[in-house]
Amino acid sequence: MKDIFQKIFPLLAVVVFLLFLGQVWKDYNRPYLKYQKEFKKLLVEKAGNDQKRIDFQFGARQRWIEALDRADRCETCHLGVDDPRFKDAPQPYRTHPDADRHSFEKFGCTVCHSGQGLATPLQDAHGPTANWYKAIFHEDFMENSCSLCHGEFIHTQAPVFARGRQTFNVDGCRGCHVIKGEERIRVGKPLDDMAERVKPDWLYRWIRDPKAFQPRTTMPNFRFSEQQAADAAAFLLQGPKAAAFEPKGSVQRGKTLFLDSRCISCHSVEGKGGDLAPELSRIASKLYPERISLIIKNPHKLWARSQMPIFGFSDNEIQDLVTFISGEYIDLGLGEKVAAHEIQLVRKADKDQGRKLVEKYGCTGCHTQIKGAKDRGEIGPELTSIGSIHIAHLDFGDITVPLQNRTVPNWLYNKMLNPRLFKPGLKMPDFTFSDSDAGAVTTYLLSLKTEKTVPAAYSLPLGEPPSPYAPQGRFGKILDRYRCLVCHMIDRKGGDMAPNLSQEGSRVKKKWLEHFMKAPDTIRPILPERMPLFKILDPEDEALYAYFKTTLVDDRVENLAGSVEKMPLNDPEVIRLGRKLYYEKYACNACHQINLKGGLIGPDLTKVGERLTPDWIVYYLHNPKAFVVRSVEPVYKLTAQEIEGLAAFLINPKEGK
Amino acid sequence: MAGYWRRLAPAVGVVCVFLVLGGSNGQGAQTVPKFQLPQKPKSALTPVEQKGRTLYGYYCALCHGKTGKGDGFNSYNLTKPPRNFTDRARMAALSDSRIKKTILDGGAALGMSPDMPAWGGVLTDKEASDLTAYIRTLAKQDGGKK
Repeated sequence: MKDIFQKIFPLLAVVVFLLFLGQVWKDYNRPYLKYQKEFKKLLVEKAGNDQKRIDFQFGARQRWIEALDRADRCETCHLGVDDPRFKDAPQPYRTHPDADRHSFEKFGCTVCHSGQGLATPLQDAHGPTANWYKAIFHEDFMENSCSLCHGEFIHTQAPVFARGRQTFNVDGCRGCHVIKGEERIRVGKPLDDMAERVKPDWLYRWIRDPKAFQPRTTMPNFRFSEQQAADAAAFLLQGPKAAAFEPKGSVQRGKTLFLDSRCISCHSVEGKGGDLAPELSRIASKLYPERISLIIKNPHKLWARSQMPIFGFSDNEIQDLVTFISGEYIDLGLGEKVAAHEIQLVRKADKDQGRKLVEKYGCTGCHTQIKGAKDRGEIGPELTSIGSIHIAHLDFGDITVPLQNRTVPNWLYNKMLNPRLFKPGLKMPDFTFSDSDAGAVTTYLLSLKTEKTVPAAYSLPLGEPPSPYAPQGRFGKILDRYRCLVCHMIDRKGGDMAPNLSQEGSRVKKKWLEHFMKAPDTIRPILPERMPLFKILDPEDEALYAYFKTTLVDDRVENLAGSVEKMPLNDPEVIRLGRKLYYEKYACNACHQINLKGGLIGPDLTKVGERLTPDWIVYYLHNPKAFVVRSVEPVYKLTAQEIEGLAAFLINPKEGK
Repeated sequence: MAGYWRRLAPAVGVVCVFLVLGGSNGQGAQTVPKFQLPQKPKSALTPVEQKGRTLYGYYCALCHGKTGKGDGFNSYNLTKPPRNFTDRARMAALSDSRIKKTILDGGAALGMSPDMPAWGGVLTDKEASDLTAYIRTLAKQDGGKK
């Protein structure tokens, strides 16, 4: 026994020595050395003749961000992140595109990008691995981290996140999913009078595939079978039926009125027109004529959230419009036999089954006033902290996904694209999101984290919370009746399709405004959307002008009044100087038209003196972007004399060039 | 026995082919949803060039055209047609600093048409650099297509 041991002892010693050598080699030959060697080569190339300045040491790099309790070793391989010379270099060496705003000393890497900061091998650092589920975020979802410091209202700097948040709210996700701190919004219409409103065959087709009828609708597809769709339709169609109603107006007058009222500023007809309101080309195959007339008369009475203004048409005008719409906008592709078959399906269907479907699938998450169906509240899982959920809590079902793709973002992304992917029979309907919408909603969901606390020094809210602007009294009623804030904005509240009215009183002359309200015309020759013609009542007029001239003003303009009055704006010499500046020095005519000559980008300036107050023109010329942020106008540092000349030229009548 | 199988082989082969084809056809008819990974953004542009593209679409494309051919909708209202950025020979003759100067100081400052405004009051120096980087790619893109 002893002999054998003596014999193999040298061998064992060699083995131990080799193992020792192996360990030393392993310790020395780190996987990152490959990248560091390559980086050094690039560095030598970039340095060119100035070889002395190359100061590169091999070895791991670590940034310790004490305030965030993080240690990131990412820069061990990502060596060029803070070196602008590497802006076109291949990864992992490329310059960080945002290094000037987010310093590495303060933030490190993983607080935004996620991943495993302490690891240096490729797969361990980027994740996920068996014991580290937080993988680095895909570019598409990166913006979820912005809200950590910048809050949930960040908009321009994180467009994908903002779009995801918007989609989440507009598509009514909050109707079925709780997010603590966010109010439940039920985005659908009340459904109490369906039998009086819609045709049964339409409802059946609508439930089966809403986007086939209305491509922009937010109503999801529940993937119901024929029988299920018929059952649900039969249940919803209970109650009094529509009364017989034969519109007896004039088609021609109706058509003229339809065009004059600029309905297609918001609605589209065969895809042409605005995108704020439903497509109309097949609307008469959906709604009974009587309902069309009720909607035109007062949409707010039927649905408080409706964005359609009350136009103030007379009863005869409404008759004409309904005659035109119900005769013209029918579904020509719909066969009579098919429709009759669908009506039969609905008639024979089981209403009680329909009620069960409506309750089970959460129709009440969006729709109110469904007679006979209970609102069970938010039936989906709570999403308050979905962004920090552990992957083990997410069920992949029978789908086999390799470990490196099993991440929370990937799961959410697939859930958005295909809600019933992981298990057949799930209740969540299909919103038929595009890839980019699914990515945006995923980005928003990932931002919903429990550990949302960063130290106070890191918090920098960007963007603005919703504006509380809600005028009371007469002006408030006018805004409400004509839904002005669907297109216009006042004090940060409203849409951005039409000009911002917050300073309109300082901007335009009262006489022009009076004329415009009676016959609204576009100021910019090429814009497709146009202000509809409302039948505004005279007393409303007065309230409107009073509010405009007293409240929708800007003191920066109002305070100029005294000094503008003293300017020699009618002096022919000054006008001549302005004319020269307009055409020669600044070539304003490249974008603006006067007497039908010039560019089409800015507003027509032929009669600008009748529209804008001189104070506004002077103020605006100082800095066009100061108020109209979206303006595509260059900002010149004009001298006082130049402003005087340009203002004088603009407000006076102009002859052709 | 072996001979028997050999004679049968073609028939067996045909049956197999039918089975395989039939099976795959059946699966192809139903679209089985699959687990998808987010697509990497396909842009061939660097982040700097992408920033430049956004600015270009907002401020420049109205006259210079979306693809940089100098055919934007407002180009027809100008006294002199705007620069065609896809003209490789002419673009090669321009230095980056000159392009940037034109953006910031306007056409008139360099003896060209005053129809090109000076954007120095709107764009920062860095934004003008980003724009220049993007404008450079327009000639390349067009060359790539040919």
